Amino acid sequence: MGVGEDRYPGFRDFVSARGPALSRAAYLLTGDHHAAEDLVQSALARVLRHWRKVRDGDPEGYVRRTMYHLQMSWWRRRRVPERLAAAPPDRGGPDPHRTTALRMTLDQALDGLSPRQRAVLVLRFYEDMTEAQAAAMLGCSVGTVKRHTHDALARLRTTAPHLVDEDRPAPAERAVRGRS
Amino acid sequence: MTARLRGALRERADQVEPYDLYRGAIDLARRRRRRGRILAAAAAVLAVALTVIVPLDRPGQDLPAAPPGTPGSLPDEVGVPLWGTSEVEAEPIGAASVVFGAPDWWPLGSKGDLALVGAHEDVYGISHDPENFRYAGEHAVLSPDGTRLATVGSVIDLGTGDHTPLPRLGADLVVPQAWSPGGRLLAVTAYTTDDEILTSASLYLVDPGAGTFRVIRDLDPRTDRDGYTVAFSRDGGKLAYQTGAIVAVTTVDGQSISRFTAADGSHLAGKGAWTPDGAGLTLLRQSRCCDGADYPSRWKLTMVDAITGEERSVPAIRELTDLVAVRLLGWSRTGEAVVTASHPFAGIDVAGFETGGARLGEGLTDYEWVRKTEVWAVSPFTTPRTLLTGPDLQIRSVDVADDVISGGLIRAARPPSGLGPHLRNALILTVAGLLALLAIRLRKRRRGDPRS
Repeated sequence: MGVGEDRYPGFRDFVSARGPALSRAAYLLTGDHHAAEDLVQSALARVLRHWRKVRDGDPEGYVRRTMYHLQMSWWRRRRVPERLAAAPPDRGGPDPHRTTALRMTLDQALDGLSPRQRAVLVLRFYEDMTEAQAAAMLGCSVGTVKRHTHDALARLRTTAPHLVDEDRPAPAERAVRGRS
Repeated sequence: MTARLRGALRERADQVEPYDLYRGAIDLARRRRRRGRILAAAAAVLAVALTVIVPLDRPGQDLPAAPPGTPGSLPDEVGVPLWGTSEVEAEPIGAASVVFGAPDWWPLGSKGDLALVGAHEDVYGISHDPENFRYAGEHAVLSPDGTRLATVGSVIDLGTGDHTPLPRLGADLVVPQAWSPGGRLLAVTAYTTDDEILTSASLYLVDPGAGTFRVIRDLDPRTDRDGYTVAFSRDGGKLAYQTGAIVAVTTVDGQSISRFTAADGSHLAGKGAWTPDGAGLTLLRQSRCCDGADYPSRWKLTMVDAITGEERSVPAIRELTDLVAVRLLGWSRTGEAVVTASHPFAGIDVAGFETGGARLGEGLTDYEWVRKTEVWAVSPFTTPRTLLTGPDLQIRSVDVADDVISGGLIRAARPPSGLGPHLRNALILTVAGLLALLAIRLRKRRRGDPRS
């Protein structure tokens, strides 16, 4: 048993069980694997300060709230360093043409949003939270969530209309139709 | 409408492989704990260092060289009064031995301020007058026992903080010049002005307690120099004053005793111009000498007969060199002349009694020329002895209470050090704010709230 197990009983199990889900949400929030890993680790490090109190409650909720707050924090965004890699990190699985095209347009569309708009979008359409739940998670009003949602969707309609307009074909579908 | 967006987000998220989080989180938490400890230790060290290196106010209230009831003693050094030092009206200091001034003590300047130092201990008080830029000894004069400060238009009781207005005398400015030895009468110059230019001047004797006054005579505002205009004899019965080149002696009732012409541009030397034997007057003569000197000017104190004006055959006090101005405050118990010695800024033109004077404060003692003023004891046979000094630029004009001069007691001064009330309050507020912030953060931390 290592130092972590002595000091933070149950933490390893918690990370093993909930780490993948937290990693996915973090990636959607940041759009970068390094930044996402750093974000989750920072949030986990913070929960460790109160681990004895939090572990019997809702540690995942705490970590998620911390993640969203950290990601929207100007100071943290400013200090997260860019890392140069020899090759672009690619941890994706099978990558057929359609998936690649969708991934690229989604990444570009999300990159065009502000951190708050992006967080609201992830909470509402990935985590499937209601506006009230998203507001509670971000520590803001429901009205603010509504506004950010509206602004984010409006922006997506400009940059990636097929993501929010069901009538429009996705770029990959257009390519397939064009070839057939 | 958002089904495709939801699907795309899930699809993108599903492609993310879990990160190696456990070890990174443990290491990060450990680094942050260590950093917190280092910061706390640094804060503790800083707090201790601040306490040790920058002690809070030390007004130097120990080492009283003279017990209360005696005339008081002269501190051998003064320092910059701490920013926020109380005004004497709010916190009277009882009696002062010294009043001094300089224009740049604090971040916002100190042109309207004079500092007073206690007669028996180094307690500092401030006289603040936003309307008048006063020079100590020229526009603000301590009473012989140091319990009152005569200033432009009023007399401040340093025991109570009360102001007694001086009679208006039909003038725009009533400027104190010298107290009678008993402290009952005050010689003042009443100026009329036109757009700050002095247009007329008259010498008056005022009894501030009774509110009565007597005109002595009109002066020439072009040649009248505050601080050098008038002197009381030691017995308080006679008054010597100068207007233009004429020196006149009268009784305090205004009856003329004598008048003579001061030779070679010499001038009454200050409020201490009467010689200790009461028979002579001390004049100040400047010679522009010598080529090649840093400041080619020499000052000589000459003693003349108070009736005839003839130079007396007494040992001459050696010339004082490299000084922009000298003023005779009085005489020590051992017969030394106690003077203010004003050092010039480097490279200025030589100033004299003919310099400036159209406005209040203009003249040879103008802060524009004076870098520092000290109090010296000078005698015919020895080199000048420094009785009072202070930091460069921080003491530019000075007056000493007559009884302190004649008493001859000097004390080892402890000028104020530390932060001063204004800086201390700012520091306390900052520390309190930081502590409150810390308390809030700790409380949040105890509650387990996530923080960004």
